[in-house]
Amino acid sequence: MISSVSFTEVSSRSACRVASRARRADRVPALLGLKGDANKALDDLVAMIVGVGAVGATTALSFAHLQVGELRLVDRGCFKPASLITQPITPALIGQPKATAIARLCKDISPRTRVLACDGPLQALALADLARVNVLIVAGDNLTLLRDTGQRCLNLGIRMIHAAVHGESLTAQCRTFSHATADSPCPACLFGAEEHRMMNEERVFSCEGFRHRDTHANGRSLQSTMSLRPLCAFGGEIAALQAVKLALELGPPVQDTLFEICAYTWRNLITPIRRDPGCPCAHERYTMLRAPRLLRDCTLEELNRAARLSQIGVEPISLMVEGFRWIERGLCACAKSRPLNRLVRPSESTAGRCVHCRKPVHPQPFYSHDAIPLSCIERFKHRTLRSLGAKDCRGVLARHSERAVLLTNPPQKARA
Amino acid sequence: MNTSLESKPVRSLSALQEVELSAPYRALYERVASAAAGPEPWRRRKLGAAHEFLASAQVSGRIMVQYLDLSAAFRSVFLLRVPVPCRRGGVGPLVIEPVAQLGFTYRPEAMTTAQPGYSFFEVLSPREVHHPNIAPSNVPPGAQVLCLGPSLPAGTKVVDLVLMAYAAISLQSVQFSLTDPAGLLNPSAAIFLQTSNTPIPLTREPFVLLKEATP
Repeated sequence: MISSVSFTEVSSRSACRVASRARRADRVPALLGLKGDANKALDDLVAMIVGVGAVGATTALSFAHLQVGELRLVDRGCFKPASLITQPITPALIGQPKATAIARLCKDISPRTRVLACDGPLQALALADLARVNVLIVAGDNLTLLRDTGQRCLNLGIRMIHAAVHGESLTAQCRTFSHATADSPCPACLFGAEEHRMMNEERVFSCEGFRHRDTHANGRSLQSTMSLRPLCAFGGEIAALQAVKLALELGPPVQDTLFEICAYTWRNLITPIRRDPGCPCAHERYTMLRAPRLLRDCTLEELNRAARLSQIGVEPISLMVEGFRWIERGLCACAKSRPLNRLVRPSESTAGRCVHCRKPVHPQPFYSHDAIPLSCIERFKHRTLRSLGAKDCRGVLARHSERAVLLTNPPQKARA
Repeated sequence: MNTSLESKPVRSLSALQEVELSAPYRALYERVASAAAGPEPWRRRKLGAAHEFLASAQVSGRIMVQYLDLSAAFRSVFLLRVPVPCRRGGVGPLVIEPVAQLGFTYRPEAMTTAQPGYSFFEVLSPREVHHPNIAPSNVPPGAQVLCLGPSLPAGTKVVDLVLMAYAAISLQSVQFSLTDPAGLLNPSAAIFLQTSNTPIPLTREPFVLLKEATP
């Protein structure tokens, strides 16, 4: 999926300045078996939460109380009146986007934490926006989101915690995926036929969609979360604690395990998670590289050179410019297919005007590419991404026959 | 990348993976296979689909592959021998064209996720197709996208999609109901075909050409 949304940083409100006087170091205990500096590890922790509902919002608020270094929240939904039953909110937040509303609460609790929010679907975020994340907690309400989040984390080698609850049996679940190698298990490795059937049902499409490609559904909840607030909070806190254990390397390894606890009996289970060799997801690890300068100022040839893997020594076969699609040809009122050859955002339904009829030119679906075969852009290899239409580019995925390289912008200091 | 249809026909579409490709198809397959990129399951899927697609062209005698590319998505341009209903400007008399040139795209996500029915085929020619399931060329955006239904399950096979396209274009399987907009991209064509005396379907021929399939 082409990226079309991004993070916005939340600024601290003056009324909450008193919170900056709270110091984590005054309350962190002498943890048993701690090898390093807990405060430094939490300062360096970049955590991302996908799905900021009953479970995810609890985890987010816990991270804010821990004053972690950076917190990124993603949710495309808004709070409804029923959210008051299970989610840690006040009536004043009803109607507000979940990610931004919880991000503001987190910033109020911990002004020193860098808090970013994205009120769109995870699938619309650029892969480059997940770079530097140390641990990702997914607490969404549909399998498509879980599968897509797992796929991205596996590609980028990000540790992932899946927090969930089963209301009827008062059970909280926490699955921890190490994604240590490309052969590590991903969430889809645990899916059976029933889960795949449900994923098909989670997607709905409108006939208008082909005119506005970014309106494709990303998966929807088949039913509302049926649970109790204490159980959701419990599930969220287990995920937060699991993330702390990972960050501080406390206790026996918890990676690639499923932890389950039932509040009826207070019995718990820890089960190892294994890879399914028949998993339909792409079990591959991207090589992360920095571009020599801002991506938009790089020519296609420079990107090819930067993405050339020393082990392989060959140029990539295709490029994907995150946030843009390559439009080879388009149609206007002349009713004749015209060459366009430019990068266009997926939200843009037109790509300029025809020089003959002066009417808008619409991208032709067959000639629109998410991943651009190099043969299509060979003629433009000396042009910069900016001159081809990508004025703000965050990542370029270059694909070789069996490997992929994700090129990101250089760090801000290096740019200066 | 033109490939001739001169190949010995085999009779069945049921075991395409076992069909031995004739020389021109094999040459085309080998050329595109070397450039197939992507993660292992996707690359394997593309190669298998390419073989089946070329085998279906060989078996049916109904397809002429003009372009095939596996470097990113599975993309192909091919001529499909199928009657295509057309009306100039959407108002003239109905003209039946004998061949459609289709642009076909099968993206990696189609392997794992349900896709909208309009995400696979575009009728590149003829223009001015007048068909309930094909977006009209005289209304912006002008792309003649073919819709095969509201949602197609994950992992639908390439050859199955080609068969569905044949059935849809020839009006063997078609959505006419104005009250059920699933798959209906040209309501005026649906009204026209319901009220005119156009024989529907436009052909009753099966996908495999019978004449060539006779031993």
